[in-house]
Amino acid sequence: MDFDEAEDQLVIFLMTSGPSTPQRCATPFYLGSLLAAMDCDVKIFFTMEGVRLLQKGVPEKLTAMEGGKYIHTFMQEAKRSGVELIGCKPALPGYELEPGELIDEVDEVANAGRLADLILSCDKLITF
Amino acid sequence: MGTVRGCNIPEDLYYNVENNVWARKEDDGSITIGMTAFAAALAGDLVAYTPKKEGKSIKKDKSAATVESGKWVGPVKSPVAGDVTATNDQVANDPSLVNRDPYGDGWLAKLTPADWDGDSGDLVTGQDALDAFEKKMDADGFDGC
Repeated sequence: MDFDEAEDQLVIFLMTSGPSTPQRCATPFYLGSLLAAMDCDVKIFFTMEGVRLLQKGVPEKLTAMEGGKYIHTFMQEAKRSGVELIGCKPALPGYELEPGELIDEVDEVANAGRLADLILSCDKLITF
Repeated sequence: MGTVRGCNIPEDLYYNVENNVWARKEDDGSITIGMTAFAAALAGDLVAYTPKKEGKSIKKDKSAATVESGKWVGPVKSPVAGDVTATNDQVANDPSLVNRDPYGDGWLAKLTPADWDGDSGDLVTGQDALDAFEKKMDADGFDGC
């Protein structure tokens, strides 16, 4: 499987990393952008500490490396490439988050059943 | 030779302005495609180029290649449908060639078109292209090449 067979492949990123490990928080969006640029259908599902990346005010101030681009910028570039961002609803209370506190780039806030469907129907599942 | 905000936009080429790509029909009927000078300026110095392989079919507005510049990556969406007949080894070895010569040695793919007459009808050329790029640069807040 390579770029030449990428079209319409469904690729799911399961994003569990968050602000406590900032160095793990840029690559998924960059790789997601790359796969979307190859015409893959890319969705990033944020759960566990990953939902904190969706909290307004967090990705705007977070970088993966000193002096690097903000995670929010990586996310916006991924969105422009066609990547969809999905937040895990059951994970929000653990971080005292309400859906209304999430950044505008979030496409969907979904239950675990949605993630289960994505896992079972996707062509590739990548965890970060 | 057209110029918009310092970006070279040759009036004899056909453009998909939204995707920032150009197409040129060659004498042998093949189509050469690439990024515009505007797109190259937005991307910055390119460091990677990954084309679809020769022999592969590409649908209109689907990726013919990806390009990367440091911490940015994006597609080069083919303005026409067709089969890839050539990719650019020079660009593979030196992707910044696209920044230096986007309409010449920095071309990104050559295709045998599936329906040039149909697909080119959706593209703009000449003064219409210059006007469309001016409008896009204005909307994007682009200062110039």
